[in-house]
Amino acid sequence: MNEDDTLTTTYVTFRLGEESYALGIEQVREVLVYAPVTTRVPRTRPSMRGVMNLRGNILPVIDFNERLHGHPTVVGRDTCILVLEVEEDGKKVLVGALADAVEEVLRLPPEARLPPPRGGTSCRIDLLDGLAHRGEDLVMILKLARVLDDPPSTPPAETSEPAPAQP
Amino acid sequence: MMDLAEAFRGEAEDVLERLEEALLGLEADPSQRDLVDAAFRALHTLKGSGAMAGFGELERFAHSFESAFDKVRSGETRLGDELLGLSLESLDHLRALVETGPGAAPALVEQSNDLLAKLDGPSAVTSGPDTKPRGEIWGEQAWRIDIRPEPQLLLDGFDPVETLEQLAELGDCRWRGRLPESTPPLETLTPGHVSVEWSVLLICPHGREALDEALFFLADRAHITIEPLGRDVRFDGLRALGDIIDTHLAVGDWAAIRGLLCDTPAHATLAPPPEAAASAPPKTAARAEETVKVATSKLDVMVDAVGELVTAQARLEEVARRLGDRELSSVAESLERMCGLMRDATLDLRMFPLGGTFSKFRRLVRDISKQLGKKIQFVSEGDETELDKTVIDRLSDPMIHLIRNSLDHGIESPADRRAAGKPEAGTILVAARHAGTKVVIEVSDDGKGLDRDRIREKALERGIISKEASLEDAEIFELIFAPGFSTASEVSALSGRGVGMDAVRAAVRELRGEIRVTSELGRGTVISIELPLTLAIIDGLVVRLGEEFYVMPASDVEECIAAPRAQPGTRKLLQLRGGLVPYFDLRSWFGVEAPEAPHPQVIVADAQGERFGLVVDEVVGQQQAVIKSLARATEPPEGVSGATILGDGGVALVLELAKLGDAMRMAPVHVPEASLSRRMHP
Repeated sequence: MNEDDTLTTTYVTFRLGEESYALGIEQVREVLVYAPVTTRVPRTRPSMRGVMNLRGNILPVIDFNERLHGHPTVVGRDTCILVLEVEEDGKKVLVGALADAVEEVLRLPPEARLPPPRGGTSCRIDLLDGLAHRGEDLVMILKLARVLDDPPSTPPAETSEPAPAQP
Repeated sequence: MMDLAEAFRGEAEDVLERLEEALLGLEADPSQRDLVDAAFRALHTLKGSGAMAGFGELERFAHSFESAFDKVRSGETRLGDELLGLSLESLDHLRALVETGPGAAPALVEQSNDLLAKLDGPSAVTSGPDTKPRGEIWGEQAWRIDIRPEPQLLLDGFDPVETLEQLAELGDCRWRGRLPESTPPLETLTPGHVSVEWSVLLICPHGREALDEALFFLADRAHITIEPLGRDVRFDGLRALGDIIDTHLAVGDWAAIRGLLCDTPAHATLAPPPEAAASAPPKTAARAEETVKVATSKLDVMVDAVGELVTAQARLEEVARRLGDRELSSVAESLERMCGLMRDATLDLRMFPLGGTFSKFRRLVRDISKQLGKKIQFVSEGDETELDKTVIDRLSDPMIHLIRNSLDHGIESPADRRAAGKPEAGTILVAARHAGTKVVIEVSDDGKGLDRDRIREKALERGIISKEASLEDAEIFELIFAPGFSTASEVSALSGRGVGMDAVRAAVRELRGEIRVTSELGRGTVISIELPLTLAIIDGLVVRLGEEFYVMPASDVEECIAAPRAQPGTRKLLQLRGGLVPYFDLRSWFGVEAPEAPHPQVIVADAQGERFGLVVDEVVGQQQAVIKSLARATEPPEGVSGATILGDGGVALVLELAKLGDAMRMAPVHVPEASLSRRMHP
């Protein structure tokens, strides 16, 4: 979505299960230690965990495990909330992302980036902006706008209807 | 120094708006001299300040445009349709010139020349000799004129000396400038600001009108008093008067003391001649309040901050109550008062009169009715009614849509109107007024009205209603707001743009407003929009569902009653003072799992004229809620319009009852028959 993504060379990486993902550092405002999301938003997708009070701002929190891998985050010692800055209608808004752990700030020369693979990843490839090698590992670079706007009915395999009610 | 070009743009916008208003007013009645003056003055202002800001092409164009209007003022040119049409075109051109900035593109310059050539054209058709009223000559008359200019005068491109020289042309004249006591000391004096005041003594054979004429450009930029001193005064006497002009005594008193005003007793000479008293211009009397332009983004920051303040104050109050500390409580209380004041004052900053938007409509009506070959006059009422800036901005498009509908479908062709025994010219009235904490805006026309049979037919065709449905007039008119009602076949190029009345209603509802329609076949249609004064803060009712809290606008809640025992089946109706009101279980709709409260309550909502009930566990209380919008990524469901921070720091979602009611009614689980909603209110 965002053309500037291709020029970014500094990333913040985080873990979802066994996988490492990356977002451009300019998209990540801060990282919060996990705190329970107090207010549920009814009649939304399971990956929408709810909204919380971030110093007077309303922060919606999306469970990235649920959104990308289809199962909820199990809260552990390293669970965190990435506060992401995205643009909506020309205005900057904050969106929280629940992840298993934040890893590091990663600098990558442009040539270290690879185009997204055709398949074989644990998340849908249309949500990826590219791949990067980090030593032996692979890091998946996310297309943030796509992850957030992603219409819930796109994947044929997943449930097409949001559950009317969830815990 | 501030950016001159930017400052000029801001000012030019206002001036152009005034010019447009004047031109459109003249179109309705070309004989209104004060409007000719207003247009002339606006052009002069534009020329002057444009020159200051370095908008050369704009200055050139405004200058020639002004000259064309001067001929109208002098009576040399008649103000006909052609010239008015050209003037409006020229106005658009001026807008373009303001937009492009100091360096105008060659294409624009060429356009200027085209327009100026045309403006010169009709001016050539003159209507006889100079009939410029110079005022009756009734012997020599002495005047004292005091001019106290606005400090901004020079920066706005006005030279008061020009005016003084014009006065001097009228007769024997002498003036004196002085620094009033209020003049700031040198070290705090703003360079470029005018502190000087002038007093002018003038003996001339002209009447008051000639003076007004000479003072024309200063009239709305200075405080001017004109005082007639007497007739047949000798200038020798005046010379002496000039010497005493600095004193604080009224000139007449001095004149009487010194016996300077010959023959007649002082009190007689000081009585203004009847003409002068009658023509005392209101423009010098009513001076506009001084204003400051502020970027809306700055206001937004302030409104946000006040929102925080209100929230923090609510927390403080709660803490004080919990601790039971009297000293703390009293601090919290005085803070509450201050917060209230601050909140009201801040919200008031965002309030703007609707008149600016209305004058845009005037132009729209003019242009489109010409295109359609219809005669339509536009009337606005309540231009001074104020509304939150955000609301005004977001209201503009839906209102344009309504007006276009009236232009296009409402008002008939002149021939049809004649045949129907109506005046040829139709009227579109836009009226605004305050009603409690709301503002009501009505768009009405005296056109052909809504045809209930045709609407019914079409709704049947589109499957919006069933054949058996028996509907009241109001319910039928309501159908025009149904999604999918207006379709491509009936939408013309004008009112088209792919938006139907459902989009208008959606926009109004987004502003937490309501829209209603009444109509009489052959007589016309009235569409009324009711809006809250401001969007940022509402009086909220806090309710509990299990462990969750929700806030709903108190204005949409009619009453709260104990819930009846659960009825079997899905259709739930509440007996309420003779009427049956459907009600819904908000817990199951929102998927709340916590155990039900022993004594649930029903909130009876009256939103958009539809009554329905919502079962909640508890009504917690009422509080001012600062509404914060939710990021789109939240994907809030229908009926959730935002969130607010509660006194304890927790977050509660804010419900929009009209939309929530619609969503619940649509859901087949809760309402088995689609027609239920139509039957529910009497």
